[in-house]
Amino acid sequence: MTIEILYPELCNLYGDRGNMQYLRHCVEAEFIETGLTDTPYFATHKVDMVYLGSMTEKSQQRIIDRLRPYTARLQEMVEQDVVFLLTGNAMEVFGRCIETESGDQIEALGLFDVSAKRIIPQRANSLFVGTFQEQQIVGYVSRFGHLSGVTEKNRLFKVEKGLGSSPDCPWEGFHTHHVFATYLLGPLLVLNPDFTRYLLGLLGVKEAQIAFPDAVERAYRLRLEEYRRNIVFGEHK
Amino acid sequence: MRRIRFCIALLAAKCIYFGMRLLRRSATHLPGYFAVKICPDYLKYIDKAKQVICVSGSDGKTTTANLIADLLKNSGYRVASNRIGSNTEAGIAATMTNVVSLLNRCRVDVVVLEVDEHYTRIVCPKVRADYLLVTNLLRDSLQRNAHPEYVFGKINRTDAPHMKVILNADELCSASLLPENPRLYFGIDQLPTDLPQSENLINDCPLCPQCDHKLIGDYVRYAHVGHAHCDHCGYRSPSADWAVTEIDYEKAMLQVRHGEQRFAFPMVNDTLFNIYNEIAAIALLMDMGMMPEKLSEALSNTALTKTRYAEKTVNGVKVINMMAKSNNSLPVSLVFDHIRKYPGKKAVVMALDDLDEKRSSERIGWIYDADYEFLAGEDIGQIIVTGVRCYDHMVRLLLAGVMPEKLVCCQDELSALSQLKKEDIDTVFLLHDMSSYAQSVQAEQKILEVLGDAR
Repeated sequence: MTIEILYPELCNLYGDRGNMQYLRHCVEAEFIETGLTDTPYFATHKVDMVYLGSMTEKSQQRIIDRLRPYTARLQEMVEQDVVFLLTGNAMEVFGRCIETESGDQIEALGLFDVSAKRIIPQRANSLFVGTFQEQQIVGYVSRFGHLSGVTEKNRLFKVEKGLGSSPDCPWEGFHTHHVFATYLLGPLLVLNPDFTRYLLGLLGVKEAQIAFPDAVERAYRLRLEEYRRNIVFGEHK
Repeated sequence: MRRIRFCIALLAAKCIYFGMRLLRRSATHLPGYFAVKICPDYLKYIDKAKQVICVSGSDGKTTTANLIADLLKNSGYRVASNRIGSNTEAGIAATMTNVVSLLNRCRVDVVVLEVDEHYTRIVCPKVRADYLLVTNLLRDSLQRNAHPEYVFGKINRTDAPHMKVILNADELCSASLLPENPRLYFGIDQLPTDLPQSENLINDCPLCPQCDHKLIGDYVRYAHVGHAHCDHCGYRSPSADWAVTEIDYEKAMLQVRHGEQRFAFPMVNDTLFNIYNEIAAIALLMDMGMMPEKLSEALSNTALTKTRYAEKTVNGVKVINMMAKSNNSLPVSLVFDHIRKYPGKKAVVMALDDLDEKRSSERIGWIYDADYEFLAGEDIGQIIVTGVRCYDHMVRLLLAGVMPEKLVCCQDELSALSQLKKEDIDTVFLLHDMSSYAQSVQAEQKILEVLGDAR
């Protein structure tokens, strides 16, 4: 099994590097880290999963520029059901465009029919609890943008409490084929043991076992219990 | 008209201040809040001291501002600071209200202001700051500060052309701030402990600030702190005007260079991040014209605020109570690094919950940026993790390679401490967040009791 982590030297904000650190303990696989000056491994090889984490707004442009020559290949991989996990604002890179705070349009990769609009200097912060299939998902949102174009058909999570992809949107994140794109931070995989098991199943791991299940499950249950109480979920700008 | 508004604001702020003091309230925010509401340019019109020093940055600004204020006081200056107040515009307005008379006459020689990074562009021009010292720009609260690049952009919009900026030559996220302003750099010259490559998980300045190509590290102290250059455009880390050349841990002295001159100053604290804070203060005060002998004497009479670092010994075991500010991954990593390199056998008690978020829940992503791996060494015999988020910290420690049998995980700190192993320990480190200092004092007492009973 091959898992490619794209541009980890830049796309590691808000603890997102924890997703792959955790996955390394959950699955026997070859993890390939592609740096900014490298040719992506997926360009010439078969990979089972691609991961891209949160980055600065300036880096979004850098990553779009680096990935643009591989748009067709990425599209092909999506259709071949390669697993994509995109967390934080990485999702915006794969949409149609990003509207900046000054009103300029950054043309993104255009793989998915969603668009982002930056709200700088406002920052949208929120805790999050939602559902994915029968699972309860927890995490938090901290971002400079909102995403439009998320519908019941292409959504990833259903919002129970907290901020969706845009204010008043009952859905969070984007899902098509085996693409899982979400604004949720956590790290998502560490905070959500059931979701991680599900992802491992998609990667072909039989009877998927997560790492350090006792501590991870206790942290998850505690958080879920806390989120169900009447606490402040954050600003919904 | 504006002057009249200012006079009304000053009178109102003074009345609120005295009223709150009568009620035994701290009055560090509200008087300033109303003053700015009545007169938005309140800070512009309030009488200024001869010198106004602003201190900002992600980490160390409180320590550095307090150190500067203490050193000035110990040297005979009349000093005011927002030591116990807030570091926003309202908090600073409250501090300044207390500094001037009813007739708006400043009663001190120097004002030292710790300024929140988001407020430098508002506060510095209004108070006509003579200096802005920026300690560093690091990852901080993701809800407020997002990432260093964003905070850089905020500070960089400070329009105060005559203000001298004092910057960290070794910290590349902040070194190119305010390029048009007069500047002075502080730093620590290459140390024997510096490395060819970083051991930290995070490097927030992998690309050249000028041309966006990959930076080549000359040497690394930690994370992106050190010296680097760019082969593409020729950019180099700036050289420090005031630099520590040698750290004498035995004599607790710092050797310092400035041009051809050489100085020796007492070392206030032996952790590297506090040496940065001290050399920053030295650079500023020497630039203000303080005599080195006077500064040296003042430094020898100065201790760091106890909420940040305190040592006690019981039956030969040292108990070190250190602040490890949660949400700030690199400062926490530096604390872990300090523990890793501290001689002898150690136990660590971690109480890193941010108790300020009482009505909400804490974001814990930052712990995946912090180097918990530094705590996986054999000379750390036990790690006790406590607080609401103890299971999150436990997962992180397990991922870092800490053996499960070394871990004690319990939400209640005092109960957890009864499991502290008393044998075969030279030092116990008690790490607490800024918001949990009061709890850490209780915990420290409990540790002293446990160790006292044991021997």
